[in-house]
Amino acid sequence: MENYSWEELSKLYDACLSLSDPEREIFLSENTEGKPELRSRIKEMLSQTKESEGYFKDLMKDIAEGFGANMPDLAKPGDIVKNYRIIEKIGAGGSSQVFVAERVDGQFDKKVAVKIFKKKGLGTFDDKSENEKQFLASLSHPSIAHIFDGGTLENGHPYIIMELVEGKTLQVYLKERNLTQKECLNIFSEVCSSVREAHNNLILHLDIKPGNLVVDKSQRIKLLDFGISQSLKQNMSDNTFSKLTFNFAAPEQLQGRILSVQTDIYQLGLLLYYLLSRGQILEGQEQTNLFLNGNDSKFIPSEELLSIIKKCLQSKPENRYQSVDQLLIDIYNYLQNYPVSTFSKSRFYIARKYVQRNSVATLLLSLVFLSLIGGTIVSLRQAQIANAEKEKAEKTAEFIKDLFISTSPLAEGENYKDLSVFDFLEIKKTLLFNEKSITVENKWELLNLLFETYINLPEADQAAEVASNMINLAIEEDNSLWILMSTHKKALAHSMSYNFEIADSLYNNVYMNMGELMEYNKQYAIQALSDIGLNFILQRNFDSAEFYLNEAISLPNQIQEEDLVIISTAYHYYSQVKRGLGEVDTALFYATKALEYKVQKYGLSDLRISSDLSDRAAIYADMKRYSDAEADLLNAIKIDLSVLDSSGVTVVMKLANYATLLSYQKKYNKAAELTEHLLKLRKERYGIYSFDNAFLCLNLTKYYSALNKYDLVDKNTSMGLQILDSLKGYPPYIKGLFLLSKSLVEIKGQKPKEALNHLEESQYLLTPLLNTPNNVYQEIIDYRRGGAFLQQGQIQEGEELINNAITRLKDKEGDNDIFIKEAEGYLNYLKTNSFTN
Amino acid sequence: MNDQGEISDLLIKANEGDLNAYNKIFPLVYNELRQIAHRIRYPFVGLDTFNTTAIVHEAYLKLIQSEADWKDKAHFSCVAAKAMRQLLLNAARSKKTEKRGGNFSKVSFDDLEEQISLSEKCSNEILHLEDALILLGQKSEEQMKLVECRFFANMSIEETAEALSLSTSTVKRHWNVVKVWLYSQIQQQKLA
Repeated sequence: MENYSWEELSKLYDACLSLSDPEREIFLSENTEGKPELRSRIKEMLSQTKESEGYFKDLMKDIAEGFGANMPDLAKPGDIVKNYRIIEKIGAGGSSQVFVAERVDGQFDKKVAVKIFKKKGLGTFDDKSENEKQFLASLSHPSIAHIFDGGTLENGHPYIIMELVEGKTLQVYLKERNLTQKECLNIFSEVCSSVREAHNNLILHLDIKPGNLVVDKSQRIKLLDFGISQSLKQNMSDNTFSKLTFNFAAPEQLQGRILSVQTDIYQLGLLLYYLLSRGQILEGQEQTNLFLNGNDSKFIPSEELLSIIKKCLQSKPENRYQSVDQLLIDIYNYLQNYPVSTFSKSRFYIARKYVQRNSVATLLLSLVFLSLIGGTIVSLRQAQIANAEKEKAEKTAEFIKDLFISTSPLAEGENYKDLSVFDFLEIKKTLLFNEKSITVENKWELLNLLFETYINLPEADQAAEVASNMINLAIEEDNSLWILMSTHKKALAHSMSYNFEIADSLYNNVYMNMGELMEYNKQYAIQALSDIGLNFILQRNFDSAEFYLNEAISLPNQIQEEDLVIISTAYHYYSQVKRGLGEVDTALFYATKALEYKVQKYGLSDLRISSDLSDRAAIYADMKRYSDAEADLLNAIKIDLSVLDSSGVTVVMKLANYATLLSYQKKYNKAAELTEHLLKLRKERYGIYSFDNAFLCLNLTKYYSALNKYDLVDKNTSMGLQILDSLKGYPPYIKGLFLLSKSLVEIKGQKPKEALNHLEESQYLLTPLLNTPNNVYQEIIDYRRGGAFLQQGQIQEGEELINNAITRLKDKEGDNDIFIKEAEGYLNYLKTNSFTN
Repeated sequence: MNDQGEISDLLIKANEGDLNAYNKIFPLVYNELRQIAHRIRYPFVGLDTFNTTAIVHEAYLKLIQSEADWKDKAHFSCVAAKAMRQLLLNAARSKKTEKRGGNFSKVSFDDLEEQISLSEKCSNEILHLEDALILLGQKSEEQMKLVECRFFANMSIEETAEALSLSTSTVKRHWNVVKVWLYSQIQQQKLA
């Protein structure tokens, strides 16, 4: 062993690198005294710097070749394949060799490419039915190299015969040309449209990569090699990894999982990345690494494109684009400067939608049928800016126009580039506050508008902030009416984000000064009273809600044309209160009245009547008039879909209600299926952490309870509770309902102690629901408590609780079979278990 | 083996120097790499340039779900790099044995296709490199690990830095020295 340490050697060598030859001599002799071995080693090393570099490179290449094990040619010139004679080998890839060939009979002088696969017995043409061969052969798209035929050679190697494309590979083309981003995106769109064509013919490509893309003589991009394409119909799960090129393989290909349309989408994402970097990235690069160190995204000029790529590259196929169409739409949108669906968690998207339908300045949160009793939580609030505010229209027109510009292709000026509507609103607000020339009145109006914009988006937190600004302005101006109005707005914003404590106290202030509001504007007063009513409906405090709404609807002596909408909103809320109080006939009366008023004003297919329709459906459902309910609900959904996005909260919640309607008719499987679908859709588009997802989970727990699938009840309960935890505010009884579900799982899992704890907490949280008529929560809590007692061996107490609960359940109105069955099950448990104990 | 948590756990422990954990996890990783290597085919032109990272990456996806913590990947890389070294060493050794007539089993064309077939020259170099590496390991284990990551697993400077918890500049500097040292050591060995 040498008499020097690694550290010594390394330090000295390093130091020498920055010295000239003579300097090195001196330096070394000074620093290696008594260690000649060290000195000679370093000198030797210094002379070998270059060679060592080459040595490792060559060694790596040799190793690579070792993995690749060269392969003899699979065919030679003169060989006949089907009707073609091989002329020469023109290329070889990891999995195959490609030959150029001509017709044996000389009928056509057109040459073809014959691709022979190295691996025998691949699922290529041989395994395909005639039908599928037809599919492949009929694949016709200007950007797809045509496939003529295929089969297996005598030596067992599969082959395909395809159109011979003469041109340059994409790789070479990119290096030669200095393509603009737009040209790159055009190439990409071409490829996408050819893949879409294949998908339409139930064919997957599965090997989309630069090497398979050729730009032919007429400058057209061609996608080659459907060599490992599989029919969409047979979900391929065999491991085709060895046939693939690493760099463009999707995770599910590497893992040998089921391949799908999303596999192609993954590869398209990589291709887009490759194109935008002009071929500079991905060489020897790990995919998982792509965006991690940030410097890779330097090739991607915009956040939107990056977000499109990222969506394609999601490791889970279900999180990617669901079709090439969707991907293409985003690319087109980008090319035309429209917002892209994946961008900024779709706020952009919502905002755009909002702008598109700015005349309907409402985004209605429709009601959700609640689990178990079909109570409703009502997010009924209609933004009333649309009505009777025509005089404001002109003032707002400019603002709205600006809003348009920020997302429109005509946007001028760098300032608005890459600006989301939210950024824009922020800027607008800042400008407003610093603008000296603007009159206070106009400032007030614009803040008003800003508030309505946020509340309708719906971004209650931002709205609350604007309301605070309004309060400040009002105080500055010492305008008591403004103070009242802005307090009302702030309360509304808090109520909409379920911060009821703050909302209650703010509304209290508003109510104390209702007289002043009434003097100012009766309509405004009705609106404020309605909103206070809504605040209590959301808390399911129907008695209080009824009080305020009673005042609201009794205010107008006679209904004037301009009062129609305001009054109809009050009626709408009132009907939900009556529903909550179990007075369904009255509820139906007012719901229908509200609807009539609105139809009178807006017509039959206006977005503003859709929530009235779906809320009336809830009343019909309570009355077991399911076909009426279904008609109203479907009508509402139809109206929504004509304006709104199908994955938006408004439509999704109505579809969730439709599922609940199915469950009322005992179609639990269907209900669960639909709800799962909605949950997946929401998760995909907007992430898991939103209030509406909690609702979907809650509904699922109900359906799965009915289906006795307790593991799924458990799963959705946990997910729901997790979602609630992530939210700033929510009505406490929602958590109570989840805990009630949890207790069911725990009893079924023989954990009586945990169940009892959760039942106790649940009882506390459910307090507001326990006071509503015809609910059976107390009974459920009681018999489950009884069940838990039985499990703990407290037989007498348990039996008493259960029997008592069953008696009450039988007395109550409504369809309680499912609960009675569950309760009786607990009694049976005692019987079966008492033998063993 | 499917227990993700357990694998992650073992990897962490192995990297902290727990020999027991190391002995448990190594065969797992090695086996996976071997299986992948045995059915792999890469072309060597242009974009499709092969490197061992691909194999390590695939093994990683197999053993650890891709959603796993990024830290897991660093831990995994260290072990995989060592396994890759072993894999190539074994391939080189079997080449030698084969040459000496040790390989009696009848090998059909297709079977051959399933193996890593290193050239004789390449095998020799790998065996030389192995000797030099053992010596290096005695001097500095860290440097040896660096070679495993950088060369055998073909990791980038950044990845190596991440796997070994070093700065990229340190990795760069060390790799420069250690490369030349290994080369000169190998030349000396060849002379001896």
